[in-house]
Amino acid sequence: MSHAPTDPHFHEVSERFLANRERTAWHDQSLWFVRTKRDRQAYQTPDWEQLRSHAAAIKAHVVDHLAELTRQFAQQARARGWTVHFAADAAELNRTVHGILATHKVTRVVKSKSMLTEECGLNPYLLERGMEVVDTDLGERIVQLRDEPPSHIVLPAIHIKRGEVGELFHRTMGSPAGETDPVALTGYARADLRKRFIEADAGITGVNFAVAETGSIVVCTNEGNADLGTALQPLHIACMGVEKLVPLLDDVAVFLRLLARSATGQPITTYSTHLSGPDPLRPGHEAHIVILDNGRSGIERDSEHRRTLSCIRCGACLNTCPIYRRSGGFAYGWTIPGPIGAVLAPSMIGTKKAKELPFASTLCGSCTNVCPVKIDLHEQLLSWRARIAADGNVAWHKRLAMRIGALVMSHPGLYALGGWTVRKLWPRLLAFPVGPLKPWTDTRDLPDAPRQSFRGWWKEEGDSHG
Amino acid sequence: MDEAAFLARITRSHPSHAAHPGPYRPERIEPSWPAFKSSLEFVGGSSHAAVTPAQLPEAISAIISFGAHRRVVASAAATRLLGVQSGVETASQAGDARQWNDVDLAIIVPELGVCENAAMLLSAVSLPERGLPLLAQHVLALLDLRLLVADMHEAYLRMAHHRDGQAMPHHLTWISGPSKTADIEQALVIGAHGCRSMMILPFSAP
Amino acid sequence: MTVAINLFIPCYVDQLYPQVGKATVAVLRRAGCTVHFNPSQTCCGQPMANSGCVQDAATLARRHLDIFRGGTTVCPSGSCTSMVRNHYAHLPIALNAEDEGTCARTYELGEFLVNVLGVDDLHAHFPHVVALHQSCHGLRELGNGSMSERGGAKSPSATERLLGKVQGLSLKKPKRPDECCGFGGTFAVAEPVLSTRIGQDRVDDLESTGAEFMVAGDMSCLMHLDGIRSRQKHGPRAIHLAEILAAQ
Repeated sequence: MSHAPTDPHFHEVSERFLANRERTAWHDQSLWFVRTKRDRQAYQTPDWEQLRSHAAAIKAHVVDHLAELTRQFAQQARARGWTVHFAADAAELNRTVHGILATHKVTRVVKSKSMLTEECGLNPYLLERGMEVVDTDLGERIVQLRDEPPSHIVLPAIHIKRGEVGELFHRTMGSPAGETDPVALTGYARADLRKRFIEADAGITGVNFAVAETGSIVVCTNEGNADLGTALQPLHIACMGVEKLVPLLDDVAVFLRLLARSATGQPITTYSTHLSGPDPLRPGHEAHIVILDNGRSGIERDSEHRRTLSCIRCGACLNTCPIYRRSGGFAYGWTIPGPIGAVLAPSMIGTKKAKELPFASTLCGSCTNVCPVKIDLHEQLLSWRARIAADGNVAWHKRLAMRIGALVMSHPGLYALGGWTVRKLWPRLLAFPVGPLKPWTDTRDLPDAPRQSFRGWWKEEGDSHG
Repeated sequence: MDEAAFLARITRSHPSHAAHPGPYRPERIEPSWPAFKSSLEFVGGSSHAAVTPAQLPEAISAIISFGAHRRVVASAAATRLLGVQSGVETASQAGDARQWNDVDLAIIVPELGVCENAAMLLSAVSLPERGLPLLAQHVLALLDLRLLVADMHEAYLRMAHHRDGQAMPHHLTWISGPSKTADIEQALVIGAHGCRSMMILPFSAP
Repeated sequence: MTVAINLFIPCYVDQLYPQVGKATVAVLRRAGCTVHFNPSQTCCGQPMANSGCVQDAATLARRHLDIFRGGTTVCPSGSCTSMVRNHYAHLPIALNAEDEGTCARTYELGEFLVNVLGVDDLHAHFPHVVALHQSCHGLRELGNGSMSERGGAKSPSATERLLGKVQGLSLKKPKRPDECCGFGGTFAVAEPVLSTRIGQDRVDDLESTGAEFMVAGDMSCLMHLDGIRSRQKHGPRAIHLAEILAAQ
């Protein structure tokens, strides 16, 4: 199976997801629960809105000074003893990481959560070359064992029920058949993964924040798996998107106050670790950073969409999205689902492949309101729709319908006549087995057509009485 | 790809030059043990009643016997604070971190405690034995109540590190409560890969 | 002193829900306004913009701005209002200062009454249990009330304040205060299964309050929600804010 970006088939996959009504309700409620936990934190943090504004301003500064900050970070990081690598694209990141591992004759790798390595398809690349990579975040381990991608950027296994995890662990970790208690199941994973941490030759992590001022990376987890995956092993490789930079150490405080509150409704992740180069107490310890472009520089150049580089990958927009909650992450067919996925995908995989995604939205605006760095997500979705249409990736019949609509609406007489005709033919239109109304009438009724339009009434009697 | 080529891919001149907004300084709140304790409970940690420094060894003995902990290892910083205590090993500064894989209880001394989220600061200065509280099944943190701050902004200001041109230590971690996960159906499970419990033993001079 | 307003009636209200337009007229007159309706108006262009067809939207936007030039416009729809006030500036049309004024002085009915006229009591009488659906654009794009996602102080929306003054009306709120109804314009027919599912969940939430009616400031939401209610044969009946405020 491939973890690399594929062609999204939102319509098809979401309809399949929705066919299971009960499961859709369960998925929706699970994610809404996470949204309400976020809300509680937001309400209990008196300066929540100021914090968001400040974080947005820091990230706007970062996006406007990406090259300078990258240079500063690389310089500071090298001064701390990091070996800094640059990768133009996914293929180069994979080759670079593999190269470092191969030089050290690594065969067993533990990896903490990194959506970036998902984006690049690092796991299958290393697997094909004889290296064992164990994803150590519990949710990621679950989906890894099921040979499927994560369906959420923070809660990888949110689409999986405890019974399914029980069956999986029975097959792979020796838990008893029929065990479904999350506490017990986690215990089996703890024992299994503890062995992996101890036996691994190298640890790969993502990066939540990269501090230009100090040449440090910050990695946040609740499970401690990034720490256990870097404190014990002689080699650490951190993979980061270039947009993960923050200018100052002080800035980390702002983001640490926002990240876990937005993501899971906790005041902070259990572990928030700054690492600044190799460990002087471990002779021979090596620490590498791979800084990835893979389309980010393209977003940076796109004046309408560069704000999306502010994203800190909290997942709050996924949790609040009425569409994501009822379609599941796989419907988006790309590494990152949900509203942020839908606004990144057209940049990263092109408007042709991503053409459905910005349209998979009612533009309700809830995502914009939960974003800790105030990306105007729903406006981004709308502006992508215009770009997709301009690139010729909106279906011809939809464009034609809009052109005809605009034509009719440009002539009030034609509009009034059209409206009158539709109202007169209404019952027949509704009954017709095919046609534009069918997607509506398959599942919803329409009102009876009124005898007279508002403008008809206004002309007759409404205009009098002032 | 080399650095120069990579940087060349990132546009350096465009119309927008948003300035850094400067330091974030919220309204100052007084730190307090009740506030820290409340946050600690929220994140699944527990606390002991406050003691004086002289009472620490006794409190710790009681905690060890109550938990029936067999291998108890204190960080060097904890040993400096407590003195040598029977039943408590001092962490060896040599050798592999994996030696702590069978530790039942780790005793550590954080550098700061943050009230808004029960985060405690540990770094290569207070904890060169980085792996100790990660591998131990349970962690006991000895928190000097003078080291409480209200929020993360104050915490970063108070951090001794990266001050006056000092370089950051190799590791610097905020640890808040025990390890946890909710990856199975959003059911909260305390004790994922790191410690299964986190207890704070606060102390202050009488 | 009477305020003269230009009535902006969304195309689907004009053709399918004229009673909402009539109620809007009655309410504005009761609030002391002189109401004008320019029959040249047709559509604000929102469906075109939402489909990515910005040139078509711009054509209609230009037309709309010329028709509504130089007055105060009131519209019984948050989404059409937002289209004019917030989104016209992003279309490929040249807006002069007068156009910007037209956009800025385009108001949704509820916000106009409360925030502009300072009126929240229309002496209406509607002795029923009513569940409130906060339409997304009115809330999030027009800032018509506190959004459940935001921190800071919460205050009742203009819609809530107006309904609060209706005699005999018992206002109920669903469990999810401001979740989307799932209509989303062309989304309703492009992703009909998803759109309907979101709407069914919304009707269920509104129904769980025990209300006989569900009210919103946007007839588009209500058309969708009522269509679901009607098909499934249970749930509160849809009624527009204007209709309640006009009820005596």
